[in-house]
Parts: sequence; C-alpha cells; structure tokens
Amino acid sequence: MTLKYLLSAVRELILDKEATPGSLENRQAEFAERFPYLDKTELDDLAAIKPDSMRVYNELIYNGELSMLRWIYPITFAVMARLKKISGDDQEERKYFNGIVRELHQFRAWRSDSSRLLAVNFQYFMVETKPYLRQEWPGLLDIIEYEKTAVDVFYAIDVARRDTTLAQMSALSVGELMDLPVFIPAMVARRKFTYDVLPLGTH
Amino acid sequence: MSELRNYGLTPLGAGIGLRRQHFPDIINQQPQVNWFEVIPENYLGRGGFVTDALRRIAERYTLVGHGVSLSIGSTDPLNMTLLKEVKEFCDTCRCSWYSDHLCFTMVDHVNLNDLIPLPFTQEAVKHVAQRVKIVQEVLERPFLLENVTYYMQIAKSQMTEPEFISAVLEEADCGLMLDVSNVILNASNHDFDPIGFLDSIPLHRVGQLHLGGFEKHGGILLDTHAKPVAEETWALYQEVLERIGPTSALIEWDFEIPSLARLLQEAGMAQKLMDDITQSHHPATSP
Repeated sequence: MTLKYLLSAVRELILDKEATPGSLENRQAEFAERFPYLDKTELDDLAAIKPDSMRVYNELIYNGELSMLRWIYPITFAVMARLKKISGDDQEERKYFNGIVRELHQFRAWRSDSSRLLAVNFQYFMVETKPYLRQEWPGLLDIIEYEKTAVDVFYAIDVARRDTTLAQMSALSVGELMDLPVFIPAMVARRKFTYDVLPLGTH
Repeated sequence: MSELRNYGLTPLGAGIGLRRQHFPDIINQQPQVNWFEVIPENYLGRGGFVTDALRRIAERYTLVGHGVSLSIGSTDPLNMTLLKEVKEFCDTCRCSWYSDHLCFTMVDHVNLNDLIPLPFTQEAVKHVAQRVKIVQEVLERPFLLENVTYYMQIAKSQMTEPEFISAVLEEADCGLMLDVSNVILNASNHDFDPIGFLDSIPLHRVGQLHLGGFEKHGGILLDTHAKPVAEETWALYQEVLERIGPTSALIEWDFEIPSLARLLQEAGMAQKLMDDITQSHHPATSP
C-alpha cells in the first residue's frame, strides 16, 4: 500500500518544498532521496510532473487560504496593508499577503476542514510571530480578536429556550406566543473600543 | 444497468447553486427555480441567519447536496463525523442524492484547500471504491462522484482519465456527476478530444451535470467558476443531452457572483437547450 506515501509526497511538493529546478533525471534522483517509501514507477511518475503544474496548485491553494482569511479578517488586512505602506515596504500587496499565508502554513498547518480553525491559527500566528506589527500599532490584536468573535457570533448555533415548557406555551394566547423569543443566540460578545473600528476596513 | 437513464434519479431540469448573497432575493421574491444545489459544509455546526434562511428555502424548494470536503481519495481515515452530519443534513433538506469530488483535499491531516487529482492507478481505484461503499451505506441515498479538473497528471502511464473514472464507478457501483466544463477544460489543457471522452465513460451512470465558467491564465484554462458558461461547454452539454436525455443540470458560479437574475438567465439557457433536445426527440410528448 503505497498510495499513502504517494499522496503524502504530492502534498509535500505542492505545499512545502517544490522540486529543485533541474532536469527530469535530477528530479528522479532528488525524489529517490526525499521519498524513500515510493517504488521506482511512482518516483518516475512523480518526477515526470512538470514543476510548473505543481506550482499551479501551490498558488491556487495559498490564494484560496488568503481569500478565506481576508473574508474573516477584512479590517485586520486593511490595517496590515496600511502598516506595510507606512513602514516603507513597497512590495505588491497581494504578494505581501501571499507571503504571510505561506508563513502561517509553516508556523501551523491547517489541520481541519473548518475555516474557524484557520482563523484561530491566524490569530496565534499574529500573536507569536509578528511582534513588530503590534509595536507599530498595538490595536491590531484587538481587531483580530474582534473580527474572529464577530464571525463566531454570526454563525453561533441558536439554542431553543429551555425555560418555557410546551405546557406553559399552550396556555398563552396567539399574540403572546408570537411575542415569545423562541430562540436565543448561543453567543453574545461585547467589545468596547476607544476609537472607530469599522472605517479602518477601508483603505 | 445499461438501460437505466440518469442513474435512476429524477431529472430536475436546470438549477443553480444556493449562495448566501442571494438569500434575501430568494426569500422575498420566491423566484421560479427548479432546484438548488447546496453545499452542506457551509451550514454544518452553524446557526444564525444562514441556517434560518436555508430552513426557509428548504421548505419551498427542491435541494440537492454537493460536498467539497469528503476527500474520498485521501488515505486519511474517512471523516465519519462529517459523513453523519451530512446524512442528517440531507435528511433534513430532503436531498434525493449527494455528490462530492473524485479527488483528495486532505492528506496527513493537512487541508490542501483544493481538489487535488488522484493518480490514475488500480490501487487508487480500489481505495476509492472501498470508501464510496461506506459513504453510500452511511448516507442511505445515491452518491455521485464528480470528475475534477487536473493541472497535473500523476501516473499517466497506467490509465487514462476516462479509464480511471469508469473503473471507479464500476467497482464502487456509484453514479457520476459529470462536470461538462471540466471535460472541456481538461481536454484543452491535456490535449484530448472531449467527444472521445464521452465515448469512453459509462454515461448511464450520469445522474447530474455541472456547467461552470473558466478562464485562461498563463497558457492554461483554470476552473475559476467566475464567468458565464463558455460556448464550447454549451456545445458539449448539447452532445451529452443528445446521448442521455433530460437530466439535472447545475450552473456553478462561485466567485464574482452575479445577481440572482443573471444566474437564472444562465440556468434558463441550460433549460432551453434541454427542452429543445427533448422536443426534437419526442415532439409529441414534450410540453
């Protein structure tokens, strides 16, 4: 059963470390060393894939993660773009953020199909690895926390009220019943800022 | 089995993907839509506005489930929690069938966040077939696998794509969600004849079609789902309909999502072509 090792090698080549530029023979030699559990046919098949084709997936995957993070953290990314500009970094914005997503993957790979976990990983990543951004604008972590919480609240499961029994409801008039808040949100969060947060999202 | 049309599924006509941006219009205007395709992963474990909107839409419209993260080809264990949640979702939304992609999206428990093609090998055929059987058992409804786009081909020496797809479908005894745009896109990127592709797959197993837009980037076609259906896709769609008759066809538009009206216009085109072909084959019985 080597499918497992083959898929694992594909993952590594796409996400983590692509083949060293060179000929087919170079790739065959490199992969034989890097992926010792693959048999000769599998190594040849893998080496026959043009690195450009693998790079298509690399870009699609990291661009996809970036889109997802920008959707969850629109204000955070707008603030980061501004901080980048202020610091004199003239790198293209898309490239800059793409680099950040790649760093995030190396820091903590996304090990779930839940976008919430990607959001949590991003928060840890920013806390642990970007102290210079916090120094330039200490409010950044508050914004990250605010935006993550806003998504959690938006998707929070509604919970049926447990304090009103069916018998109690039966005794109510139609009007009273209609007024009854049957569902309550499972999560409410309150954040207080000393400055106007939402306009920070436009730049 | 070869006599069966649409893999035994009811042809629903042309439908569109259910997207959050359109919820207010769908709920307020209640437009005429044959059916919606819904992605359970967007709702599982979530409450609030989206779940409430889905509940209201499910009360009025026919929904069909289409997954994006089953990772059927992965060598990680099948995500049984997800599968059970999908089953419950399909029961609640009364989905007659369910589909996901013939690919892997996670391996070594790392999310690749894309549809990565499998090697076209006998080993992969057996592996996927075994997992599909479990999926069908849990879901208790027909399961369709979708042909994906591939920008790289692992192990092309062992099998062609149609041979791989056919072998998986036969071994797993499941249906095919034929993405017509993916056939056009792969044919262009890998230089094969799309009609020859149709000749080589078990069309009696096709239970649903996908039609989506793609774009050219750096010399290759990319499956972006951000554009209208291309002319050549419409032409191949007609060819498919000629062969399998009326079916369920879905317009996929996931990025730069247009207005509901524009999307319905695209679905209207799919429906018209379906009606035209039905009429030309059975003029006395068609509406």
